[in-house]
Amino acid sequence: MDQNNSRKLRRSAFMATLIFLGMTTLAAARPVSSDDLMNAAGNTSDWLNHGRTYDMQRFSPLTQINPCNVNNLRPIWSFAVGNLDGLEATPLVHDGIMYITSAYAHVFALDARNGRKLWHYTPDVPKDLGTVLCCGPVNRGVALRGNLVYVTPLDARLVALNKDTGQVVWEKKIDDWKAGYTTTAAPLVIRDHVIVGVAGGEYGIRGHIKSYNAKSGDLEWTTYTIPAPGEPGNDTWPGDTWKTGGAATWNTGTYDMASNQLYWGTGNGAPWVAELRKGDNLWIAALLSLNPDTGKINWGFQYTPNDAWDYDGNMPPILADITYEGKKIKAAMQSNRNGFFYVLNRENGEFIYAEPTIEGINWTHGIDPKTGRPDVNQAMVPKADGKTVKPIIPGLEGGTNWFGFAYNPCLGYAIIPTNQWAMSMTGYKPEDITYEPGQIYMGMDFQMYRQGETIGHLKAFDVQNRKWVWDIASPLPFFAGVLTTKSGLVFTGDQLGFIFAADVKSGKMLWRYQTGSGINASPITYALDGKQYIAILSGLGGDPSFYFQNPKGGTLFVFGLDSLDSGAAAAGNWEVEHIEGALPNLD
Amino acid sequence: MIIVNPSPQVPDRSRYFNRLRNRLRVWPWNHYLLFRTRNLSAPCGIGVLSLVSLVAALALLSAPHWALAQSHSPKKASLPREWKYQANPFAGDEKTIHEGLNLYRRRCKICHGNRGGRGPNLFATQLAGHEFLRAVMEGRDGTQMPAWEDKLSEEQVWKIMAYIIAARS
Ligand code: HEC
Repeated sequence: MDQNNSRKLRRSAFMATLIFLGMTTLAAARPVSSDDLMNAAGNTSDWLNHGRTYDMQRFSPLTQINPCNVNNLRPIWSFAVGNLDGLEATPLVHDGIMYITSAYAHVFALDARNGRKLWHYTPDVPKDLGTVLCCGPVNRGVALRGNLVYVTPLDARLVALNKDTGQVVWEKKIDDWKAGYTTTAAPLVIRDHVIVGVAGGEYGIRGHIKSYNAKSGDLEWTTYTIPAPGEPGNDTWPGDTWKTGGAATWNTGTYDMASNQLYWGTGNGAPWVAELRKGDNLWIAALLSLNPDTGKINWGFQYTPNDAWDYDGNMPPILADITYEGKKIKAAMQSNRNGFFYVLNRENGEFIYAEPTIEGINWTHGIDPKTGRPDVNQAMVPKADGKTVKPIIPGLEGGTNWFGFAYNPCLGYAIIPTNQWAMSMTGYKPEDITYEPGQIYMGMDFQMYRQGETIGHLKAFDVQNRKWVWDIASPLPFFAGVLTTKSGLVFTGDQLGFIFAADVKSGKMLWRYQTGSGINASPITYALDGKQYIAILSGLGGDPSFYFQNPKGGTLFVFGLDSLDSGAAAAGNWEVEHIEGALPNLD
Repeated sequence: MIIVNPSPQVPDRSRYFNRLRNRLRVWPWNHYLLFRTRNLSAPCGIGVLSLVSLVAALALLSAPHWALAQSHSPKKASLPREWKYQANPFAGDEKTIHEGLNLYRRRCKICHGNRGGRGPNLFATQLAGHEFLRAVMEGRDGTQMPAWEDKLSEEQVWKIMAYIIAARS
């Protein structure tokens, strides 16, 4: 046998081992059924939906990590995503495999026991895509169904990947990125529908929600968030302004299994200067309820009619059954950029109450207790006149923003990352505000301001008694999602780089760990081989990178109570044959 | 209400941070060069270097073709470019400065802000003339700075520059 042949043989033997090992690890990963997604509440080992369960509570019944032992939590493994742009994704865990995304919608499948990379999907990115990205090349995560992993690369595409190999199975164009439509949210799977929204409110898009068949990728329905002429609500837009009015749908939705309602938040109006689109502007800055099978709008609730301050309403609502003033209410709760926490009746959109989450809100004199409609303070409305209005509270980044708060049903507490800050706004003159596809259509200049020593306040709110319970302050804004557990813990991260755990009852800080870069993503928890883990992505980027300069980085951290050398965490194929791009053998 | 940090009074540190960021982007290599090599005694340093080159040479010699092909990532050739104008044709012209302002607002401000943001403060950049033009047209690979050559004409970029220079003074 000559040398060449022996090398070939060795190489093919090596490839075969690779494939075999790959298959033995991956054969365990079952397809994700619709029932799996519906019954996620009872499945404590996985984290299958964006908010763990369709109601988006970000609550886990796991109790192994609890207030008594949480200070023993330590990093078990970490994974560097390999670039320095911000990380905003919620990881999903299914059958021992973790799926994360990084900036530019790279997708990684990792062995959830030890961080070994199984595959990595790199989407093509047009070189001038940055010309239509308002808020960084961020991505907020994937969705799972069957043998597919769904992700929306930034340039308004929906891609389905084989969950075992990361190969593209199909891809669909959602809209034209050159006209300012981009995609940053995690898709939402309901039965056989994959539902996606779009970003682009700063570029004068007309927002929409689309549903694709989960298997074939065929488009099932499109629902615009701004009605066309002849559709109800178009009269809330003067002339042709509805065509470029914004109402983007850049975050994921929430689903109520009992009533088959899909809830989706909408963003700011375009241009930001509200004077140029007089009227309520349905459905900007609103919550919509839709039928996920047809896309038909059941009802809408507008948080900020004729929004003039970029107060997007895109944070998905949390669904919970509460008792308020002696009445049982099927509630949808949302914490809004406009500074208020809203409780609605999720069956019909009826307003229950709104509570300020921060101090000194001044864009409105108050909220009508019957209808929920704000009484706008005209002095705080910037006009198309070149004059600066300030201070407006909250600033446009909001009393809170897109990242999911959590709801602890044991206590009835919503744990909300809030930010106390202000802004100035200066509207341009009308002649300087014209629409061009794919160009900024804000018509406004702004500056955010801090109001004191601290901006970030993680607050617990007793939803049923309408009472604030505790507050953890930070000098920098909070921009990460929250996780709460039945064992009585709250986890989140801050821009200083700390992931921390607090007692959900008292807000007492129990543990923290410095991850090395600002945290803008949401923590999750899962269990494997009888052990509970906490995972979070750390990496400054997105909007916070506008307001301070801290080290950038991009790392997934997984924490547990055991050290790496014990149990399954140590396992994994770390031998040279499994190392991508290792040096060739000298022979 | 007290505004603690109104923007004009905040010292602009974006240049410092950009330099830092530029350094960080190539970490750990220049970190290694900056901090480590200094501590290595010369013979030891040479030893490390020659070992590295020996390994590299061996790797190259013995690497099968596919491995070599993979290790060559295509690099964008940085060709000299021909520009229409040798100097800014619009410098100081009121009307074009306003056009430049509007272009800046629509195309650049979302990242570069009034004093930096996701990108450096362009009112303090050291780049001028063709260097600036080139940075804009080609973008910066591996950063969020996009290539504008399909979106903006050379004239438009000169207008943006005219505005930036006017706004500086
Ligand atoms: C999507 C965000 C984004 C947009 C939009 C953008 N830039 Fe940039 N720009 C950046 C980033 C980030 C850098 C820093 C790149 C680096 O680190 O080398 C940069 C760097 C630059 C530089 C180099 C500055 C220096 O001192 O090295 C120039 C010049 C520049 N941009 C001009 C522009 C102009 C003019 C526009 C509008 C036509 C624009 N940019 C739009 C993000 C952006």
